[in-house]
Amino acid sequence: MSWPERLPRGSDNAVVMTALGGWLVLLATPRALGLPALCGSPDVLAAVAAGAWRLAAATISPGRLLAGWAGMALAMMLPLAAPQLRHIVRRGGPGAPLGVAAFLTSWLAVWIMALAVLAALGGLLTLALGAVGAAAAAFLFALGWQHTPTKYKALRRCHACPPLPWERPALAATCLRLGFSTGTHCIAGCWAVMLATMVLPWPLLAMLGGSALLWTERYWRRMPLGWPLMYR
Amino acid sequence: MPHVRKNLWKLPTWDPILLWYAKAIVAMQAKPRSDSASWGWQAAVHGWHPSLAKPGELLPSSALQAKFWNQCQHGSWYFLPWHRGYLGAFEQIVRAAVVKLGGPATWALPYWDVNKPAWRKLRPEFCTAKLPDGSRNGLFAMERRTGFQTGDVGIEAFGVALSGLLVEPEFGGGTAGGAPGFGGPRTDFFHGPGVAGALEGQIHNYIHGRVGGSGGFMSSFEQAGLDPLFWLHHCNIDRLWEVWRSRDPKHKDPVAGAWLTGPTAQKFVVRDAAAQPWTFTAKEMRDTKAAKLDYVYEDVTDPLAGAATPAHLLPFAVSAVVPGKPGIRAVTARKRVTKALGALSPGVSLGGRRNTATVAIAVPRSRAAGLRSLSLETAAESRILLNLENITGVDGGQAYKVYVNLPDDDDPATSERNLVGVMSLFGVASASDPEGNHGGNGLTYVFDITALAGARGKGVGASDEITVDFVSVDDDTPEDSARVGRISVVRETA
Repeated sequence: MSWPERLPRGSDNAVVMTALGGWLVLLATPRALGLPALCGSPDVLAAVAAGAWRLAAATISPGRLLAGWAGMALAMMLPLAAPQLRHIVRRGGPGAPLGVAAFLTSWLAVWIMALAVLAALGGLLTLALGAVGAAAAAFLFALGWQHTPTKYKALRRCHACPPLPWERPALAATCLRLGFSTGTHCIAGCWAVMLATMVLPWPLLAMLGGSALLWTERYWRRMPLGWPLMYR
Repeated sequence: MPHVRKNLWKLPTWDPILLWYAKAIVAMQAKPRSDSASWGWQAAVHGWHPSLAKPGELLPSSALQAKFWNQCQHGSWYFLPWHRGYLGAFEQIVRAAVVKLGGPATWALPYWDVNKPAWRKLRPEFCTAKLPDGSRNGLFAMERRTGFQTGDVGIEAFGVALSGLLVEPEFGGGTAGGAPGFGGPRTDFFHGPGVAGALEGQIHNYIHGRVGGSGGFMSSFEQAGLDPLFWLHHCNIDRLWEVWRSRDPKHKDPVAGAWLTGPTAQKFVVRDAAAQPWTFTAKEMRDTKAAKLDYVYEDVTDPLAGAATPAHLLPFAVSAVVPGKPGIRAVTARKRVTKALGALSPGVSLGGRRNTATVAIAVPRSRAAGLRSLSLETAAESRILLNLENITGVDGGQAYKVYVNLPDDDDPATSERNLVGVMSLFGVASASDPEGNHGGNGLTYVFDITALAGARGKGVGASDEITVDFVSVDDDTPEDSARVGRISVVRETA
């Protein structure tokens, strides 16, 4: 297969470019925001540990956190939603742009909420076990989660591309629901890996590794090794 | 000298080909499913679900299952090459079993051609539990359509018609609403089903459903290979690929690297007669006389006797020619432009005899030229396609005749007017499972309704809506037994 044939086309190009934008946001994030801030910077954690909630709140910049979580979702997770976006573009008729916007709105909203929860969980883990302990625990847990039936059932539900209405209001409503369901199934499947990338050292490298894993299992592997366990 | 695959219905009663096939099957069925030369393994390569395992049954490791099982390609341009490799390896394994039992080394699978009315029945050898010597008949399986013992499973001419599919000019197609081509739409590794190509969607799926019926082996991916008829049916499908290629010089296999050397997500790999892994690509499946395949068909005569490609399809062949490359570059629908003209969603629930849906053509009245352009008279390089999307259900044995703009006073039981094809539900159960390979997206069928677009009266384009009638092939189809999630009308321009 030649490279031009490997390159994605149409809506896939937009997905790739947007995901690259997400990675640029993560790369360009200043140290003050810092990737650890996505799960609670040491300063924040120290403040929380000391019960200084106001100090912790002052240390956190909600805007930066939101930008970081949005960047993380777009960089790591948007490529996993490419089939749904392609489906809306192809089958959405004249209302397809509206459908794409509706899908992205709900999909991004659930992911940002999930990342907020995971960040808090990562912070609590770090508080409880220390940085090394939290990283080890999250890594091992993610490793195990990857082989659970729940993970694979959620992964397969991420493939859903339901019928799309022709009329714009109905299409927008359907795409909102699709964004929500795709996002929640994706979270159900990927949350453990995402948590691990948040608490592992060198978060950017961890995110790259996590993305490679999740993209591979979404597009490259057709059947999990632990699949027979799902129906026992 | 290649092995010769012969016409099943031209064989004498209990011809040695059938007798040795029956005996080899019994021998293969005696092996555990963990043995790649067993009947169970061979069926699992096509499809497998862990719920089919018998209590305590010895299965191969998860790694081996992941590598070798569940590979069947449907709704993909790999449908034909994958099944060719699969059948080739199977044939060699059966031949080895035949030789071991004392049979001829020239043994080859016969093909079940259904082109003649007399051939649209199950041969008696497949309907009796005993061989002439009183031993068990491997060709017999109870898991077929009710009443199959008479040989009549209700295969009718409309379901096996080749006139629409053998004139399809392109091998591959797209999944965006355009024609999926003769061989299926461009995909990577795709353990479907999805958007069925012309050959797969019509005669292939129809025969599966007619033989399997409700709950029979042939009606599901996971068990189809357990019926000895499956292999003979697929030989005929494989043979029709040869017929398509030989009947028109414009009919060419794809030349895209994606097809020739793909897929990328996972390579096709089966075990051969020596139990060694054999990895193959579509490129290696183009010549049946190649060493690893080593067969020819007794007859690849054109059943349409040279019927020409319909005029409206010619631009789709010509426009695909790439200067400097031989023949037609029948690869994908990349050069095609598809435009949805209207859709009905939610679609329609199907049951009993006749179910009607109406699709509004969403072209503004003020743009009458656009509406008229639905007609061939003003859109010479276009074709109008009916898309039946997200078809879900539980019974892979069901089938529906699909009509467009069938007049209210026409009796679909007797009238073939406005019939655009058959929607068979082979594989619908796994396609409808939200935790299945494709998230429960269901089946998708695409029918060319261009001929009706050019018609007068109630032809498409004469009104701002079309009606689509689904008529159950079987009288006893229960209500709400299947659902078409969306019905859309698409214009594809070459």
